[in-house]
Amino acid sequence: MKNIFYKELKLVVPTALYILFSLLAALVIIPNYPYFVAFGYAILAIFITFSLARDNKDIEFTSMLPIPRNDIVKSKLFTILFLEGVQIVACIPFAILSALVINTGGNLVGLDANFTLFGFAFIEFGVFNFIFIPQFFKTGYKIGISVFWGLTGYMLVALLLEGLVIAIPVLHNILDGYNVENIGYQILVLLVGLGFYILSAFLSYKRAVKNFDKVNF
Amino acid sequence: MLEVKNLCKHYPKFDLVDVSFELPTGYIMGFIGMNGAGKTTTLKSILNIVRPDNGEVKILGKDMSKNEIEIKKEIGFMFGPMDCYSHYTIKKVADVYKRFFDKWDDSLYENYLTKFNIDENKKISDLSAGMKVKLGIAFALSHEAKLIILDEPTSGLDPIARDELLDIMREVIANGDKSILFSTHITSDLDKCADFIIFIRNGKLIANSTKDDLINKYYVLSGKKADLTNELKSKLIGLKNNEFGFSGLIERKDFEKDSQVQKEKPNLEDLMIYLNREEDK
Repeated sequence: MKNIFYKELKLVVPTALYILFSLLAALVIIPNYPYFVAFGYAILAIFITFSLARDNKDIEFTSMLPIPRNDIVKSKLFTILFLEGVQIVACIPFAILSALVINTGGNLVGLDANFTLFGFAFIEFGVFNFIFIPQFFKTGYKIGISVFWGLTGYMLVALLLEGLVIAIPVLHNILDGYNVENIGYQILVLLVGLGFYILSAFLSYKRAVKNFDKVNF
Repeated sequence: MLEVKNLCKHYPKFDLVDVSFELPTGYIMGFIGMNGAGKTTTLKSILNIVRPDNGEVKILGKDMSKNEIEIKKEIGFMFGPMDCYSHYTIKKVADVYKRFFDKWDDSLYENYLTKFNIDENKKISDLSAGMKVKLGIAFALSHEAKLIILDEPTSGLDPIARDELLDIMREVIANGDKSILFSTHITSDLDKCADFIIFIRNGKLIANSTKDDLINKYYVLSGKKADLTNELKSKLIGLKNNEFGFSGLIERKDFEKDSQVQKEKPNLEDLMIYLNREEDK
């Protein structure tokens, strides 16, 4: 297993790409901005990474290795979680900066940079993964359409979640803002989001393995 | 070493039908057929890269479907030129590839690179088509594989490199504990080094024997139009008519010894052409 992840990091994931996109996490310090967009750049990084891998005949190469076919799916799942993870981690310092220094007054067009934002990001990525990964592994090469549907899911869920928080006063009071009294609820959202993300990764993997088993190269 | 039984794979426009053959340890088997006849599909089905619908593959006495990973470590295979990750250096790709094989032998690999005149600091995209084939072969041969499966290893190589490769193949099997299965449509390669031949056409094997038996089974006949009696016509395989006369293949057992028609020992190319024509009828 270690080898296949090594292969992804050495040959598949372009280092310059995720460093560049993780810098876009700085969008979280812009006053009055929809912060979920800053996380979404991970999806662009995934799209580019998968496209480059296809051009590099990555799956053909991997199929020549003495590994079970499921490991090909595992390696791609690893790459996706890695890119999303990098983006989430990169957002943390900017969120702290945003919350404590730059945007202490709050965000007028979306969630503030608090724990809820990160919990929602996990849910949004979870939805993206659940759509994208099994869809991609139906063929092993159709990236554009798979990203399109995954991104659509991501955007809809992001708008829905943020919409609910804005529209429902109770939710708005406890989940938005930086009020320390509500931090428990916000951390709960973060943990629920993380749980959803892990469950989604597991289910996406299961479905992708099933789809990929039918693919011939 | 390799036993294939009733391998089948259905595609909407192509069927691989009941492919069965055996390759004993210590020999080279050539796999011939036209482009699109099913060579690559067969090889990929053997390795479970293409999922066969039916059939049994045993390698080193073990069932491929149950011991895939263990078996794959004992196989060296190459499907076409090595053109993955073309913007990376050979060194970088090799560093990843070798980690997957417990028996990877760095010095053997370096020997092949030197032999093939490949600089591992070059990017893969900077290699010519022939060099990419050689690199694929170096990858396939450097982990002490017992069974080596090469898909069209000689295509794109110049005659000198082809000859060199055929020598390497003979060296590889010299110990008697390895076997090579390789597909090609360049039949002269097989004339030089194959012990066994399988011939596929439209997804079906139409010949499967030792090279000598196959060649000694037939004559190529050529003669004037007047020599072509109806009886002879019925026995000829892949009959070709031209302005001056005819030519065709005949099984030796059907050839009458006192016949005046000119006979010659066929080579594999003759067999491929005439057997193919016969099937086209």
